[in-house]
Amino acid sequence: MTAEPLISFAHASKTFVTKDKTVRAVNDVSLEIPAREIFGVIGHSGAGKSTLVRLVNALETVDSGTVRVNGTDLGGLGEKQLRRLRADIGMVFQQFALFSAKTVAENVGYPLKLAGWPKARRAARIAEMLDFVGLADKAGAYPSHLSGGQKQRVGIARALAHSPQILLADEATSALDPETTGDVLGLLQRANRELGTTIVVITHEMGVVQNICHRVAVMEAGMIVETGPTYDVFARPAHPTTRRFIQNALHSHPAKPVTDRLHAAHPGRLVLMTVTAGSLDSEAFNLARIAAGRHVVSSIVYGSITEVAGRPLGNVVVEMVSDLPDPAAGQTAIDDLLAQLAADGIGLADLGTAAAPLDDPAWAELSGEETTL
Amino acid sequence: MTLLENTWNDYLAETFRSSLGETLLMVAVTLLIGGVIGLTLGLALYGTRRGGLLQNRAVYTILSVIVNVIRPIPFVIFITAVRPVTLVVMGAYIGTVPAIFPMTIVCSVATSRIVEQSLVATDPAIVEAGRAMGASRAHILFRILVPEALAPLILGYTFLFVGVLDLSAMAGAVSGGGLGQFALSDGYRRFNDLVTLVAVIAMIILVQCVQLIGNGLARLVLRRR
Repeated sequence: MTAEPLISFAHASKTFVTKDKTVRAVNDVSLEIPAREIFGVIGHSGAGKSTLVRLVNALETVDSGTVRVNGTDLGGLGEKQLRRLRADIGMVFQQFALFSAKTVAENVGYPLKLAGWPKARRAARIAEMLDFVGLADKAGAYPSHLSGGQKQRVGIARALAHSPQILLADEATSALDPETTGDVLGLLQRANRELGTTIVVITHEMGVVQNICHRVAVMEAGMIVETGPTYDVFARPAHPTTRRFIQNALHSHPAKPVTDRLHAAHPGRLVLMTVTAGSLDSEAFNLARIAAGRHVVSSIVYGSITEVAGRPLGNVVVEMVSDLPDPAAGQTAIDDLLAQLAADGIGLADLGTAAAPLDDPAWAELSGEETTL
Repeated sequence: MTLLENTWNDYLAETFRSSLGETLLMVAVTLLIGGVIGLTLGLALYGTRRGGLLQNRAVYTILSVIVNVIRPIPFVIFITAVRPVTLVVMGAYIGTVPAIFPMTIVCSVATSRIVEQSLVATDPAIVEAGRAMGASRAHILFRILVPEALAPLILGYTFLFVGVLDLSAMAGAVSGGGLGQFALSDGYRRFNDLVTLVAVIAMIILVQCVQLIGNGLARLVLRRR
């Protein structure tokens, strides 16, 4: 441990009791979020991620376990101290939660008004914040006259006005179209880079995590099932839920019907290769080079490579055909190549040939029922 | 007792003027005091509801029962039923000013539900946003939620005006004065339908004016947004 994490959960649990059922929204979560990081929490709706993030600014309180912010155990704080803590944590909401009776400038200035800033200082800060989010010309407008993206930019300006150390973004882009989502994510990234704000992003969209999060925690049924640096989690997902999220985000892993069609079109050996920054560096995807002297010709027939957390990642299906006259010797040549690639640390799945297809081990769980925990 | 069918004279004109004054006094004071008490009561109802800012089942149930007990009692009966209390609080139970006491109680209770309804319709995320900023519960209720719900509140109060005018007319039944008593004593009991007609028309004009003002204000508040 180099430094105390800014936010830490230790065996935190929160249960909601309603008339007809008891929901363990957060179940024994232990998690550390360092300062200056953009941390993603991804999960399906109802996974408990909204409750988890509300524990950070004490909009909800734990039943058991502890939540610490800046080393302070929130469980020991009274309402007044909690209010002071909340004032230092900004929050943006899925449906923006702007005050419709107040202008854009009044909305942005509201946390400052609560903090007792004098009017002149407030006005200067409002102008600065509106400039930061690119809405300087909308100061006098009412929220109903803004587009969704503009509303969320006002929400971000309001959340950052008091220069909070932490910004909580609860599905901040889920109500926005893809283009606007990009703008808003860019804004969050700028806040992290230029203002040093630690951001906790709650989302059900892996694309959000892929684009801006340094680290990610995957949540299911109130528990963190997997956590780690975004790239590592994307490249080597350990939990089925994580794999499903990634498949839905990257679409680079062929489903069974896709592979069936590939086999129909390409009679040779099909091999699914995982593309990572490391494998690209090792030139494993310089197909001409790896096949040289092995009597194997490789060609890419399916796949995609994209960027995750600023580094390349994806899957490609390669058709390998040997030019040796003896078919058995040809298959052996391909096997030797695959063994070499595997030894070099390249992620592989042999899908077989059209005549003798092999199943991808990932299919069972990707197409299967919801995995129970 | 003289029977004057459909006549109008100086005495009636004078009585009409003073009755109109009494009605306006009763309605204005009731709306003012009952409106403020009702707003507070409504905020308390909204706040103590399940999932509310000040969630408190006991308080909510007690308030809710009080409101539900008072509301269905016909005002003509209520005004006589609370007479002993009126006597203690107002020092008398006959006349325009004493009538304001039962009117205010009923008005407060009706207002509380209208306020509660208006607040329930606001976006709950607004409350979260306020809490997340570190605002106190009282601040959220009075300074954030009330402005957010201002347009429906204005329309609600406008609606209440008609109800309070109705109350004031019934106050006339127990010597509370006002247009109600004017219509009953000088009109109905003396078979002078003209008097009743004048009282009715006066009330219609009054209601129309207030509704116009209310609608205008609500539109103004909404258009600003």
